[in-house]
Amino acid sequence: MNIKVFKNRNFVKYLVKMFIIILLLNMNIYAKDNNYEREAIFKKAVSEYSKKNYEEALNTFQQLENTDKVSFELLFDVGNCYYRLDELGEAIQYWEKAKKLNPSNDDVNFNLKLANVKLQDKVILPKPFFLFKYYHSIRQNINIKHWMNYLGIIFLVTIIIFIIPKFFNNKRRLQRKILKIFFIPKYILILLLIIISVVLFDSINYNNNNKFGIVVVNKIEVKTEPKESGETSFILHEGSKIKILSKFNRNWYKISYFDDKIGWIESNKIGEI
Amino acid sequence: MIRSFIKKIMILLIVIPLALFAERKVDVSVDRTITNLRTPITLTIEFTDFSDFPKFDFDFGDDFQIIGGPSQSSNFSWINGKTTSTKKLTYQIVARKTGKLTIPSFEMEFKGENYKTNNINITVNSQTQTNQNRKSSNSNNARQKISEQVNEQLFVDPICEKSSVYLGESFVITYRLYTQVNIADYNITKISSIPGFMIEEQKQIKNPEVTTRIVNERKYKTVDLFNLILTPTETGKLEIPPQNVRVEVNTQRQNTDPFDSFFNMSRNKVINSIAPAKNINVLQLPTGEPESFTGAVGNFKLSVNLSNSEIEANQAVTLKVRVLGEGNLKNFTFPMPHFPSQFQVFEPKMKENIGVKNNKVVGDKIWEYVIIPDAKGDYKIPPIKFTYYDLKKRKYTTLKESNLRLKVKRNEHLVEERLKNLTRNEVELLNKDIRYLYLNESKLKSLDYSPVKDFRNWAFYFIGIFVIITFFIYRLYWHFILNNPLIVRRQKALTIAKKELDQLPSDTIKAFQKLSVIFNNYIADRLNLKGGEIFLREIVENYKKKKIDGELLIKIEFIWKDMEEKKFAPNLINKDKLEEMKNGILSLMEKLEKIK
Repeated sequence: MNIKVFKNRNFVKYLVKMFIIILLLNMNIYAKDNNYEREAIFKKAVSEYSKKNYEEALNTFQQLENTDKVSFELLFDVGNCYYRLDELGEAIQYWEKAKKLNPSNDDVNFNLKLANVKLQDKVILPKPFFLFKYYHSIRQNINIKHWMNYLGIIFLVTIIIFIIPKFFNNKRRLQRKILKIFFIPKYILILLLIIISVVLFDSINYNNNNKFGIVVVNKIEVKTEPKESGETSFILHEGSKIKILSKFNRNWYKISYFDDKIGWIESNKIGEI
Repeated sequence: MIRSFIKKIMILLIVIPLALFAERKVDVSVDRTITNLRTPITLTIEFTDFSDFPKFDFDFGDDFQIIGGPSQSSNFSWINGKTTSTKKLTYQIVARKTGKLTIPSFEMEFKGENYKTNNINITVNSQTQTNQNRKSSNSNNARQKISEQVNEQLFVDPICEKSSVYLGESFVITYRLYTQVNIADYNITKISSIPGFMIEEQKQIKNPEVTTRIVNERKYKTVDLFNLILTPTETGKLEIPPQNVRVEVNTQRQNTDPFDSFFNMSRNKVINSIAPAKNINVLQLPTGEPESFTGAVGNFKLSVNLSNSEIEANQAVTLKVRVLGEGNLKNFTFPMPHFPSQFQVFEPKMKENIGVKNNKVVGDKIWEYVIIPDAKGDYKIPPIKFTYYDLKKRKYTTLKESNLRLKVKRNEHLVEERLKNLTRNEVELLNKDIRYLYLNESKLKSLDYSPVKDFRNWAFYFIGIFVIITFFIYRLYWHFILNNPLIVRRQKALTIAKKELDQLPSDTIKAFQKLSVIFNNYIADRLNLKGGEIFLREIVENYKKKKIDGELLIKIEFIWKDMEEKKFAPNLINKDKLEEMKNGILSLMEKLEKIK
């Protein structure tokens, strides 16, 4: 290919135009919602909270929650209100919901850690192999949105790195120089691309296939069959996190606790995350 | 020693054949053939020369009932070299109805031989008839005479206010003794079971009151001996069988013998007095009973209370449920109340205090539920219900207690206990407070937001794919162009022209000739014309087809004609003119380049 062809102005212009269109599209979408009414309600709730009118603050926050859209901050604040009202189960449920939107947020992780110390049910599991431990931690705390974007950038950069030398076919010396510079970054990028893809897709798969819930009543008897008269398998207390395996009749969930104990629970006694 | 042994052998040799050839027989006898419903009959089965009691089974049907026995006795006699072995079984039976009845014969088998007894006819009269018949009785047994005499003056009757009861309804039967003789003592047989009834209690009345009653124009002293509390377990016409009461009476002999009367003025005599059977009609309870009905029949009241209305978590509180009134108190349990799931409830402790008053079962039953709430909260205990069948109203009645509240506070002691199980880091964490609120909202997301479904997160991938596709299209495009000489010629026309313009010779005439060739070639390349001689007409026609601007066409024509003119007068060209022409051509070529 000829270097002069590369300089074809029309083509470069075309490329630039496309970039600008895509960027503008994104800019437009990311633009903040200018909903002043919503902002006013949120501020009112915050003010009630600071006056220690936690119930009033909760009711106000819930007005916003009842709309179609929520934010990480709203869910976090609702969790705080429940915590102040001594409803540990609901507090954990909302912080977990907030964590789903922003898994790496320090505040929500701290609150959850503090709440978990207060739980009545405690399971001490054997320590797993350190690599598995880190991997599980990454998988659970990964911000899928951010990591999708990081992976996208790496993908784009890798493509560009592969394409650029092709434009210098006429200038072999320059081309060789560029290839030499890009040699190590190229393979690092490919490796990163593979690793992040695997972790990300496993994380997405894990989140899609596993539904969790929090016990929101003080005490619950987990039954061996989906009926009230069923035999009690084990007892859980407020705030315990359970995995929802399947649903029966809308009123009963089949659940597992730490992948160990399995039983049936009434759906109104747990809050889905 | 040897003589003694021979003697024993001789005795055995004599006794064994006698025993072997003895005639075995079974006799059945009764102590009386004329009786009444209140007088027991002694039935004796005598087995002669049986080494053991044979197995047999007799059935009296509905006519008689065994009220005592069997008592066993055996006798061995050797009279005039004849050995007789006798075994006796004695039963006390009582007739269950009046008329001519028969004790049926029964068969038995012993050592391969069958034996059969005879029928015995018994005449059963009512009480009054017996009294009349007594005079004609030719019994010469003095003892029996006394018994009959006493039986006439003493009898026991079952007294029950109700002839029909409901299934599950407890009722009382009082056994009342009517007597004209002095009673020394009495003994009540413990009743083990009555078919169709559950015996709640057989209660002997302590310090009974003696009253006088007149029956059949005769004056009797009456004493209530015992109460039998029964609960029917089956419906239909049921019978409470005859009951035997052993009464020790003080008899005075009306004897002419002065010797006898001097030494023995009075004697105690044991009499078996039979209280006749009693029929009770048991009715079925109506259908449609509420869920909280557990079989209570009668008339009851309910009281429920909590030992404490405010406690700490994991502390016990007692819920006391008391049911009091009259009815089958012994025969029902309290329906388990529905407690909140946070309550740990133990099996209730039950206390009862049941008695008989005015021939009715009265008392109370208390159930104490020990409750331990696990967590703090203000709990409302669901209504505690109790349903019974009201015998007066003849319908199911539900009692309800619904205003029970229990306030459970945090158990500080328990919190301290839990702290002991925490690690140091966890305790440090507990001393901290949660992070403060966020004061503003940032990005809003829908409730079912999923980053995977959000196309914005795929933007970089789209761009990457777009770059790849564009790159390949670009390469393909240039591959096509470079392999087409006509397009290459057109595309490269200006580049070649410019290159050649830069390399014009210094000589003005030669430079002009070269300029002419360059312009000629450029036009030929752009319009894809054959090289060599090109005519202006041909150029104009071609550009007209491309619909170019008129001014541009005029400019082409002008430059073309100008160059044609100068070809014939090259001396007119100086350096300035050449430069002007060169610029004019270059400017024209750049303008023509834009024409596709």
